Amino acid sequence: MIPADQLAQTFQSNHWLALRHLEGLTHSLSLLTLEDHPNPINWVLGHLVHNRNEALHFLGVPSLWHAGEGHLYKTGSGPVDHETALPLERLLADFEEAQADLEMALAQVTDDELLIVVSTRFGERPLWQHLSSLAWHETYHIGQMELRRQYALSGSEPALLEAQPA
Amino acid sequence: MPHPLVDQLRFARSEFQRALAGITDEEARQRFLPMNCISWNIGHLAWQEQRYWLYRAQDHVPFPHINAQFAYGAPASTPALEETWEAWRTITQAADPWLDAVTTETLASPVVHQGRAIGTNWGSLLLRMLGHYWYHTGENMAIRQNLGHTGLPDFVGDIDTEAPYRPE
Repeated sequence: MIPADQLAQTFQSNHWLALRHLEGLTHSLSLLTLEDHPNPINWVLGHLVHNRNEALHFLGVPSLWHAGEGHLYKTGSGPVDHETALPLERLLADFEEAQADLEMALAQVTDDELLIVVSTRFGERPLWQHLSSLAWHETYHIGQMELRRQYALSGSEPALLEAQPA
Repeated sequence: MPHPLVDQLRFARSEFQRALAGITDEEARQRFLPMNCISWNIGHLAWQEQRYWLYRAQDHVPFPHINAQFAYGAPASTPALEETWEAWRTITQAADPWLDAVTTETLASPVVHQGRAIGTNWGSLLLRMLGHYWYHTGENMAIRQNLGHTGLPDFVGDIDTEAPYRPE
């Protein structure tokens, strides 16, 4: 089992890394969409908050978002734009609140509770394993942020450097 | 039987590979500036595997050039795809016997290298590596999207079949 303090460490590291990728971005920049990437960095951040809502739900903490807000940012949802996206400032505030709630909940959950098998959209799993999957899912999406950040800050598609033949 | 967290590492490794299935050498060596290319990222994970499980755990560095080329902060380059996959495969296979012997006690024990404690334990290094694999899997998938690849797989994949929960 991955204990609660190490799960908390992963969520904390994700939080830190995501904020680094979002530094200096405005709401408008967060909605710039690369040609082959339908979802802008605003969607990725909203998806992280959505993911954290799910983690909090399984830890018995009330959801930060109502269903409509979550719908915009759930897996497989369509791209967000100026009309549909939540403001970046709101997403950042919710991300902070979710981080604080997760830290508190993970400080209180017991090893026995983490071993309880829960019913998830992927089937039945022990709670710790579902939380761990959600944490790695976040890390994966944070890895996708880097290219979007470069694009948002430069305002143009990243330059492609062709490798020379080996 | 390996420790369950080692199963999770092997699952993250296999997902890293799955994300790159079918990619060509030319595609893997294209850089979207200022980011590194996919083949460099593979070398970077090979560097971390060698650093943790061969150098720190066993004081063995079979590929010194991997340290020079792909360490954190090393200069960007566009290595051949097969060259970095070969190094990654060789290093991960060399690391496996040590990882197979890892126990809960090993993971909780401090990392002491060449007589000096480095301020962490083996379990934390394992978790750090897990996060690193997932991060670069996401980054590689973003690069593939930018290369115009479509129909790419979703992540996290089938953990319930490939690395299901089992008690320690």
